[in-house]
Amino acid sequence: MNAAISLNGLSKVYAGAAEPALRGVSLAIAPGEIYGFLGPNGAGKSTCIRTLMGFIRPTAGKASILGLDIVKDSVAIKRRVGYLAGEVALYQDMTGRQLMDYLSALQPLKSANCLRRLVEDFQAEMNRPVRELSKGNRQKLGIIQAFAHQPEVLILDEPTGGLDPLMQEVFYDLVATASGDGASVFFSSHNLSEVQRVCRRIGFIKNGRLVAEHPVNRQEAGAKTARQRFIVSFDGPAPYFQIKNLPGVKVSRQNSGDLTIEVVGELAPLLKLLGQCRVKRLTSREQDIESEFLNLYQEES
Amino acid sequence: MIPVLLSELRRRRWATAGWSLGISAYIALNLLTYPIVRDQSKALGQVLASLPGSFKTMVSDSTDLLSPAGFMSSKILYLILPMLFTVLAVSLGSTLLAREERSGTLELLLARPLPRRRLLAGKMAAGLAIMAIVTVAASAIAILFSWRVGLELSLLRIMQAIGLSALMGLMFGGLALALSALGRATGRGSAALSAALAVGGYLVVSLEGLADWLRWPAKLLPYHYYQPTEVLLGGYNWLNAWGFFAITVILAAIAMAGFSRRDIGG
Repeated sequence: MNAAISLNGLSKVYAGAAEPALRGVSLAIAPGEIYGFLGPNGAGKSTCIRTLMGFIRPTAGKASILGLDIVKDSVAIKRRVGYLAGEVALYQDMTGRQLMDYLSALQPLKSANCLRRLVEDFQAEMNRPVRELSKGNRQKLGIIQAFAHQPEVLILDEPTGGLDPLMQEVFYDLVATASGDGASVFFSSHNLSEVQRVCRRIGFIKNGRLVAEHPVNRQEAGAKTARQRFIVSFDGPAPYFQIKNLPGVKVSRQNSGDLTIEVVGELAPLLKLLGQCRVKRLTSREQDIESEFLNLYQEES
Repeated sequence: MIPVLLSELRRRRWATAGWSLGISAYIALNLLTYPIVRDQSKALGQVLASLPGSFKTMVSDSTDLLSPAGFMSSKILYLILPMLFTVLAVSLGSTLLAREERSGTLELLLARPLPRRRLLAGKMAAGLAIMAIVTVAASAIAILFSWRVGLELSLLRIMQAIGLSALMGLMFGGLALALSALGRATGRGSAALSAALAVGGYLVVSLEGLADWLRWPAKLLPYHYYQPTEVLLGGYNWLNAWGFFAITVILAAIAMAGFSRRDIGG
């Protein structure tokens, strides 16, 4: 099956820049696949997306969307693509309704019902000028305009910024539904938990390079061996060195005398040892998924 | 292209109305003073005779400031009206595209199946339409008040002179648009460059009669070929106007070519 989005050695060097913003990125996204594109700020996510959208021209390499060349067939591609910018910019003096009318005049909708449903689902404020809307409400309009014409490919640059948790859920459902209907989704984020939740495959980008790609179930499998953290108070001297010698364990002593213990892998040896000590208090601190991502990222680089 | 044109016109409707009213009011108020000038031409003639030549060349291209053509030129057509049209055209040229690029809304449009050239054509058409609306309003008021105060000039030539003034302004607007479309200057930068060329050109040309060394450089400047008194008297070489038009078209083509190829800022 042909890839819905295909990048082959895509590179971009901005005029006057010392370093390339993109360095030979190659990847392929299948029809109906939700692909997460992860990386820290400045890694090249937005450059990659803006190149795909034809806003900037690649310096080298090729890319296609739905079999169409991103440079030569940019207009034809946009008939079939929905795009949400990283920083949603809307006309401040227009209401949501005026904005959708304008954009629909430039790109006719397949069905007015789709727009109506999106407005209902997101409880979007359509009758107030954009300048009076909160960041979250502006983001909702950005999402609606990207999905309203029922595109075959969605390119979304950090789409949930400013959305409250309830609306994030609505958005995740929307992406899942679009994927179920056959749309491919290229989803950029720097939030691992979000990408894990939504995407089926994740690509990691750093310094303009695609440094790794993982299916999400591999990520989930990885979670079984994820780092877990405990803070332990002892009634008496803490068995610092005994704990330190356990496999897969890192330990540090806090000012209070408590120990912070990080375990990768089996917990049984640690629990067995603690069972022999006079433990006053044991607090489990779930490792922040963001720092998990950063750890993986450092390892990959 | 049409939705872009209509949206731009809708968003600028109040500014367009303001410009039309402002320029019309300026023309009307000046023309209303004509009967006073005409009735006191003898006394005013003596005052004007005592003024330095440089003053006269800076306010008009006519040697007789009290004649109907000289009055129209000195009060309205030589300096203030072309400057107002230039400010309007340059502000349009420097914002039609650059403001959208700066605010990020340009990406919203370019994410649609709309070729860049068609998008820019829609913006240009909006700019032209706004200039045309203001020019028609200015011409209508000038004709009406010229007739009302008994200014002995052809109404058609008054209209032509105002049109020429707008055309020269449009040319500077085209320069501002080309600079911003090429991405070589921000909106403000392109406006500043275009306005500097317009004002500098006026100063050089208005002083060329007093300094021989300015004659040759003045010939390179558009203002040299802007002679509203000649238009009013029927002796203007309209090839000059075609020159303004041709330069404007060339600048528009440069804007098209540059904008369709370059990276969009984000």
